[in-house]
Amino acid sequence: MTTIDQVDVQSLRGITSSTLALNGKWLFLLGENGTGKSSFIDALEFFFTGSVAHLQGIQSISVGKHLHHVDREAEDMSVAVRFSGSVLREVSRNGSGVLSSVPAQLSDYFASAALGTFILRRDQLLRFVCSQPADRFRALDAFIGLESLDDIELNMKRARDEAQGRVSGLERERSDSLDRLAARLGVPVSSEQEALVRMNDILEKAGVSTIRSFDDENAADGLRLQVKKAALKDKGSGLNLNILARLSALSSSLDLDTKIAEIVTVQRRHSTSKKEEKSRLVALFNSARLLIPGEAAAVVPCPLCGQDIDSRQLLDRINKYLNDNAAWTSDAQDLRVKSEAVCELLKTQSTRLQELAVLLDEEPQSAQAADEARQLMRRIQELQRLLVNVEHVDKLLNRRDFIEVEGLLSALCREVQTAAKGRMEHLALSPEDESAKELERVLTTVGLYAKQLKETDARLAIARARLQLSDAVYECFKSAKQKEVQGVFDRLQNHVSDWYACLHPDDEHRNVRLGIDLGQRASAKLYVDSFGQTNQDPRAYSSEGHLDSLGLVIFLAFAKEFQGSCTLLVLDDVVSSVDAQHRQRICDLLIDEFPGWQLVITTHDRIWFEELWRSAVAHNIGANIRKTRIVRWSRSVGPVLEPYLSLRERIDRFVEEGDSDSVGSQGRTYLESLLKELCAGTAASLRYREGADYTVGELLPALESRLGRMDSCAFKTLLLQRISELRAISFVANMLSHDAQSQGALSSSEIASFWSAVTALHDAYACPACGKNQLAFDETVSAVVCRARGCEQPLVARFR
Amino acid sequence: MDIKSAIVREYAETLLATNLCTPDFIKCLCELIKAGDGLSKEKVLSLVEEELRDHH
Repeated sequence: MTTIDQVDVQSLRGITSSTLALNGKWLFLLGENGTGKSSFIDALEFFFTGSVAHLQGIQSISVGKHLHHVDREAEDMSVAVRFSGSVLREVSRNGSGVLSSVPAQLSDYFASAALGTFILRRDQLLRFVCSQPADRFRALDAFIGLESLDDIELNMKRARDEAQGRVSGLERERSDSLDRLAARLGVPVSSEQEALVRMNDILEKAGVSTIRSFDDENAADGLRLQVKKAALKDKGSGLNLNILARLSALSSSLDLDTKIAEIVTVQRRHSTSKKEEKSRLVALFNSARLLIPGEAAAVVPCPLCGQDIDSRQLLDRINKYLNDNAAWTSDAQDLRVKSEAVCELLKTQSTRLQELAVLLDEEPQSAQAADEARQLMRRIQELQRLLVNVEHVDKLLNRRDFIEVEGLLSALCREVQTAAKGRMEHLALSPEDESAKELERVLTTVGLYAKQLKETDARLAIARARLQLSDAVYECFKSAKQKEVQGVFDRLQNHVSDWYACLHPDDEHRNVRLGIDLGQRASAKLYVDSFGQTNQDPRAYSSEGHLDSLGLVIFLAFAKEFQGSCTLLVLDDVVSSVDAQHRQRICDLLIDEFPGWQLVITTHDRIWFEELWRSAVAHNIGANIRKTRIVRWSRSVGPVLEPYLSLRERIDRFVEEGDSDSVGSQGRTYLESLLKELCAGTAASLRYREGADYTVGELLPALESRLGRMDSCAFKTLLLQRISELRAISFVANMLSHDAQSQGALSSSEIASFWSAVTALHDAYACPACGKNQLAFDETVSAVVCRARGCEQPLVARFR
Repeated sequence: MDIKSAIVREYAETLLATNLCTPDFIKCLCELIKAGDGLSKEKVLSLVEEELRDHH
């Protein structure tokens, strides 16, 4: 078996430089809180795994920053472990996490230890029991080594979910297509085939030939032809409606007769031959008025001849001339306004005639009307030209030309309107055409939706096949994994349940089980039968101490099953919330079930530490235990270690050294403690006292009295004999007589005799059958019984 | 037999019993599972796609 001899730690957590000696034995490490116990455990974890789990996954805390000593650098950190064996085998890991060469003989040990499952810390216990089944599974997974399979299972599930997503999407698409078909067909349908049947029902009802499929483009030719004709009619109707709309714009009264007559009247007033000259003079005088100063100078030289002229007089004459001709310029302006208005009107008509002609071109029966419209448009454009600059033309406009054009326009409008209305009446759709048109629309849209449905169905079939196989890939893997993991749980079932029952023999919690929740991908559910109710969650009825011990037995069961070559087990302060009686049972469990292992147990609890030691001694493995105590800790020095001696060992040493004072004072304490234990174990009667501060003089008579009521047996005889020997010692006699004689007056041999008698009494208080010192009083049978696991004769002595 | 191997064997048997895929497909899956890190979601989907295309 591979064991650790020594752990040398440098600059890690609270340790500056320290060596923990194990000598291949179990190690019980006692130390107050904050003295560096857990630093040694961190060192072991770092050494084997390269990391420390509790420094990971927490914001702002990391191995890189917080594993090395606060006053040192990471590169100063190292852990060296020396393993037992004939040849020196030492392996070290430096601050960079690099492990030195591992000897071949240790490779399996290292491979198992690298999982880090050999350490159990107190906080893990309750967290494990109280966690969700999935988290609990992950914790156990670390033992079983299935993390990689978990990842694969998750990927399979994701693949299945994606395939499921595709199917769901296509099913929604299909449902939408069916809804659209139902809306068009007027009845719900569930497939393309059913849609075809319903479509044919409609066609048949309408007297139209049915179709073989929605791809059958020629099947409803009759229907389509009818619809086409109707569509053409529709088109014709639309054209004629447009023609009529254009006509309504054209036929509004132009009243050209009146408008041209007004223009001719003004034209007559405006005689061109005179006016042109007048026009030039008016322009000249207007310019002259700008040149002649009108206010300051009365006499100025003429710009043409240089003679003096009276400017004011000349300006008055010019103004008079211009005023006389104002009426003439007004006529010219009037003429321009009127002619431009008629010109604009004619221009509009010309444009509309052009648009009408284009529409008439599309209507085969209106070719002549289109020609007429264009001729008329040209004539109108000629009249437009006559109206341009009419004020400068001497020839008067001819009213008859305009009247004639207006007459022609009215005639054309009447003619085209009559023809368009006639065609409209002829083109009106019959009810049959209307229903054919509607039917054609239904057929087209239903055909489109049905094709979409068909395509969706094809894609859905592929997606469903993909989902079916993806689902099988995942579900089969999940069930295979669950089956095998449940098999593991079942194999450990006996250990877990038995060990838990062993720790809590009198409690009504039985049959602890670990089970897989089949509905979940990875889970570890905990069940226990409590107070007659089966399959309860342990948290329902158990105390924190019970939950701690439950977590402990599960951890121990998994460690024993799965740790392989690594027989190291580290329990870091795991029994804080467990009472003394249960701790005793944990000691027995560890000693009985892990004989071939190397255990490292740390605690701050001196009583638990002593119990562990006594249990080890009772099991005759004291020689295989190394007890170490952390005396003190400081930042600069780190933990200071020294071998731990139990009280009995310390007094043994005092006896060897002849230190009578120490034997006297501590021997008395030891004897009082022993007698209290015997009184409790036999149910001896003592007056109640707060603090249970009884003296030897009170305890010993009570014990003797109680033993007097015990049935005769070798156990009773031996105890009474040892008590008698003890009473014979003068030091004890003094204690009994309450005479505070100085221990210094006692000889070394008397002191040695006293201590020998005390230890003889202690050793006599052991089970005659198994020899273990785990006796207790059982009220139900009124007897001293042996609580040791596996004791074949637990009934030690009855009372009358 | 370790648990991982037992799971893979049980898986192969269960999947084969579904009659949904070929032994070659199962063999390929099991080898990837044993390899431990070659079976992503995309890989699963592509294997399924391939199996359906080639054998259905």
